[in-house]
Amino acid sequence: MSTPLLEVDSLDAGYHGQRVLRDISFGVPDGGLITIVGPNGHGKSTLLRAVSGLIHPMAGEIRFEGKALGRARVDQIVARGIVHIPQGDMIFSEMTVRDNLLMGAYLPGPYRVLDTSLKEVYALLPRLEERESQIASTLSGGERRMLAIGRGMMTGGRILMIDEPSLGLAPIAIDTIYGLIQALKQAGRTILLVEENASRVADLADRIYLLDHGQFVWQGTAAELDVHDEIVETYLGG
Amino acid sequence: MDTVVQIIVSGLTLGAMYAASAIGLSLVWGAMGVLNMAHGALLTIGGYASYSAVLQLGLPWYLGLPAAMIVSFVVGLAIYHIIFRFMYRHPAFETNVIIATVGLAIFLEQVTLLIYGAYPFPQPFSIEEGFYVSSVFVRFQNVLILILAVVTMLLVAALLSRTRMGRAIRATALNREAAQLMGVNVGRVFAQVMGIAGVVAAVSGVMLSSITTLAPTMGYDPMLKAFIICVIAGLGNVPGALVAAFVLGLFEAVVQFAVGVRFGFPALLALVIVALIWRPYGVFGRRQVRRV
Repeated sequence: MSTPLLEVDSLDAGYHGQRVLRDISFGVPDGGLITIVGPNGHGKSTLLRAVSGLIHPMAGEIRFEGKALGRARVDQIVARGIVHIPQGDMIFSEMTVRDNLLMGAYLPGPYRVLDTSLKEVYALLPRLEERESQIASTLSGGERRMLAIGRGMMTGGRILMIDEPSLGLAPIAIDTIYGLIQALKQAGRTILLVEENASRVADLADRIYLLDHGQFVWQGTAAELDVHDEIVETYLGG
Repeated sequence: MDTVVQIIVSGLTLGAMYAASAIGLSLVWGAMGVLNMAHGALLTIGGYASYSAVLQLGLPWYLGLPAAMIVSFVVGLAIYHIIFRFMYRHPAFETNVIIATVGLAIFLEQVTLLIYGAYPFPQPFSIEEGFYVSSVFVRFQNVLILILAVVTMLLVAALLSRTRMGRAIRATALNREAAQLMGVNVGRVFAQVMGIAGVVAAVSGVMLSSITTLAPTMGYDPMLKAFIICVIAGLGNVPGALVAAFVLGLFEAVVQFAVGVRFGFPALLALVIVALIWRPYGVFGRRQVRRV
């Protein structure tokens, strides 16, 4: 296998001098879908925040397309093609759906192909086109999640990092969101997905990592996961 | 009839000037969540820049305003680069900025005093002629002030709602972290906001000094009024600030006429107290404005 698109190498990260993540190493191959699962409060979001530059690593290195990110600013990391769709959506609640999507294409590169990517997003998420001129805060939970993912797509990044896309959604909305993620995968997008519960993601993921107390305790494929009943019981709630 | 005309003219002029002062302050608060105490100094600098451009450089009077806008724009940017740039990543940003800009305001006031002295120079960007409405003489200057204020507001509103830069400013105001994740360089947005605040403050400073006089301390009063307007409107709410500015301007004019000029300001403050008891988050404010 060639070098992965995104490589995380012996990463330690945390807040205010407290280490949340210890010695995390993994790679996301181009076009692959990698999933990190684990209970809440064990460092999944911290990991994504370290990659997108919202926090700086305490030790270790993150490389993208073979080059270290170092202490680059968040907007510089986005410009290199790493898109972080944060937990809880963080949509711009007082702006219209369309303005939210336009913000996704803020950088000069994606701004030039704005019309094409807007069509692409609307084709995949027709609901957003219907609600185009609505203020984002009036959307339902599922629609907000769609908007957050659509906005992330607009950045035209090479890798989408999605933080808990099923969080707080009704089962039917979760189905829609996972249908969308599957479509993105089939379209060849590289995805790093973080979830508390593996039951939804297992079938989609090329590789699954279990994160517990800031460390990876298991990794493997969905097929291997089925064999390990103990893991399933402990972490994934059956 | 005459008194009504007089109150309306005076109230609209006051409102227009308050609005122009308030927009800059409100924009900075909205985007960055901080109070720029040197906003009044930007007004003063604008007023004097117009004076220098016309009476010292010999430019035609109408170029006073653009000159003022350029100078205050540069000073606004400088405030970002000298102060805000080093502070906005710090958790105590909001408090630090208040202290730093109070200091800067005093410094700029003294520099103005050093250069120009305390002499109350007239503002050359001014039209003396006027016209009569019934038997009341209305200066064209008052009309000009109203037009300038409205045009400035419309331009700022269009900038915020229709341009890529404006969208980034709004996005940063709504959720700084999410804006960063879209590739927005927050530092650059803050610099842009300070530049715009400078331009708008210059307009306000030129208008203000054209109906009173120039003075190194002339920025404090409109800044205080601007702050009152922002508090009433809900801090960071630009359209609300406009409505509040005109309402308060008219209110002050009515009180000044009916009770006496010196009661205008106390009445304004009383109104603020009542408004804040009634709606502590501002009359047009949202209940929750704390950023996470």
